Amino acid sequence: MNKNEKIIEVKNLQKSFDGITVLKGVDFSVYKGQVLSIIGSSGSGKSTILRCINQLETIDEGEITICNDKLYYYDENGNAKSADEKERKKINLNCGLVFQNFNLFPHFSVLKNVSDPQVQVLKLTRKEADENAFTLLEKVGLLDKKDNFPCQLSGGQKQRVSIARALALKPSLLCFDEPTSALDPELTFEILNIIKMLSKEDRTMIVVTHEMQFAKEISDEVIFLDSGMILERGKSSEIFNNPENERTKKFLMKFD
Amino acid sequence: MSKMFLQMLSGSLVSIEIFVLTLIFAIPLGFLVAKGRMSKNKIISAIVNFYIMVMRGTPLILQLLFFYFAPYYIFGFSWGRFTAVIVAFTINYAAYFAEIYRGGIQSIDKGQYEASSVLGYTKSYSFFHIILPQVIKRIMPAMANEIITLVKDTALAQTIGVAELFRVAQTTSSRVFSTMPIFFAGVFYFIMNGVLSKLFDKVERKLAYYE
Repeated sequence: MNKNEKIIEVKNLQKSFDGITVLKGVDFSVYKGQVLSIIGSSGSGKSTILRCINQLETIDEGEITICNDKLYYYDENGNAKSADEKERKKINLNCGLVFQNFNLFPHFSVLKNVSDPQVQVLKLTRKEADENAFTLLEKVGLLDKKDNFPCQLSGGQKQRVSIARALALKPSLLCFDEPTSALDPELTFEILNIIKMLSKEDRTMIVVTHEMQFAKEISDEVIFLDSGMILERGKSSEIFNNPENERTKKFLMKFD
Repeated sequence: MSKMFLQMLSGSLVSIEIFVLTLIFAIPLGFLVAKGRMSKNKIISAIVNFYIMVMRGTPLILQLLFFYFAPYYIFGFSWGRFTAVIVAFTINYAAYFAEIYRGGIQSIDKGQYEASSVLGYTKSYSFFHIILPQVIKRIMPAMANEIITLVKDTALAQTIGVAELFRVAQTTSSRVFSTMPIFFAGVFYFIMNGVLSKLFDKVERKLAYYE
C-alpha cells in the first residue's frame, strides 16, 4: 500500500437544505493513515460533510471519491452522476461513522451490536464475528460488558461500543461526528484516548470536534469551516499556533 | 340449567370466534393502513386518513349496520350476518391498530435508521430486525388496551342478529325470568380479559430486558 494513496477526495461539495446553503463548495483530500480534523462553530456545516460522505444526505453539486470509487462525479459531458446502488453499497462499506448520540441498537446486547453487522454485511459466521467483537471490545476496554445492554452502560461506554461497532466492519475511512459532545467532561477523555490510540495505528480518519486541544494533538491536517466554506486549512501546528485568518483567530481565542 | 349453560357456552364460542378472526385480519391490515397513512404520496395518505377519520368518528354499531346492509343496496347481494360482523370489526379495528403502529414507528429515533444505513444493513433487515422489535415493545400497552376493548365490543355483533354471548344471555334471561345469565356473561367477559391482561403483562415483562 502506498502511503500517498488518497483515501478520500472531495471537490466543490455543495449542499443546501430548503434553500439554505449549508456547504458552499468544500474541497479536501485525506491520504492513507492521516487524520483530518474539521473545526468550526455550530451550524458551519461540519456534520453535513460527514453525512454526505456516509450517504445519509445526497449532495447538490460536487464530487466525492472514496478509495478510488466515485460516489459523485461528472461524466465527460459535464453531467453530474452518482454511483449505482451496488457501487454505493461498496463505497458505504469503506466508510464508518461514529455518531454524536451513539445510536446503538438498544435491543441488542453489546456483543450483538458489534458482531451482528459483520454477520449481515460482511457475511461472516456468527462465531468469526463474535471473535472479532471480543478483540474489539477488549481494545476499547469493555469485554466484561459484552452481555450487557446499551441501557446499562454510561455514555462513554456506549460511545466506546459504537466505536467498536464501526471498527468491526474494517472501514478504510472512519468518521467521527462530534463523538464527545453528548458526554460530560469526565467521560470525554476516555473517548479521546481511544481515538488517539486509533490515530497511532495509521488509520485514516476525519474527526469533527469541538475539543481543540485534542484536535491539535491527533490531527495531521485541520480545516476551519465557517458558514459552509473552508476559511483556513493547514498542518495542525500551523492552524493552532499561527492562525492567519481573523475569523479563525477569533474562534480559537474562545477556547484558550 | 345445564341446557342454559350449554347455550351460553356456544354463545361465548361465537364471541371468541369474532375476537380471534378480527385480530387475525385486523393486525396485518392495520400495518398496510399505517403504511398508507405514512405514504409520501399525498393522495394515498389523504384517502387513508379519511378512512381512519370515519372509522374513529362514527359508532361501531352504525358501521356494523352499514357493512351488513350496504352490499345489498349498493351491489345487490347480501352476505351472512357473521361475515358482515367480521368485515366491520376488521375494518374498524385496523384503523385503530394502524394509528397505534404509526405512533410506534414514528417514535423510533431517526438515528436508528441512520446507524443501520451507515452499517450497510439492507432496508428490509433494518426494518424487521432493528426497527420493528423496538416498535413492538413500545406499542404493547396501547395494543393491550385496544384488544381488551375488542373483547367487550364483540357484544355489539347482536345488533345485526348474531347470537354471540351477550345476545344469548339476554334471551335466556327473559326466558327464565332471571338476570343471572346476564351476570354470568359479565363474568365471562371479565375472565377473558383477566387472562388477556395476564398475557400482556407477561409479554411486556419479557420485552423489558432493555430500555
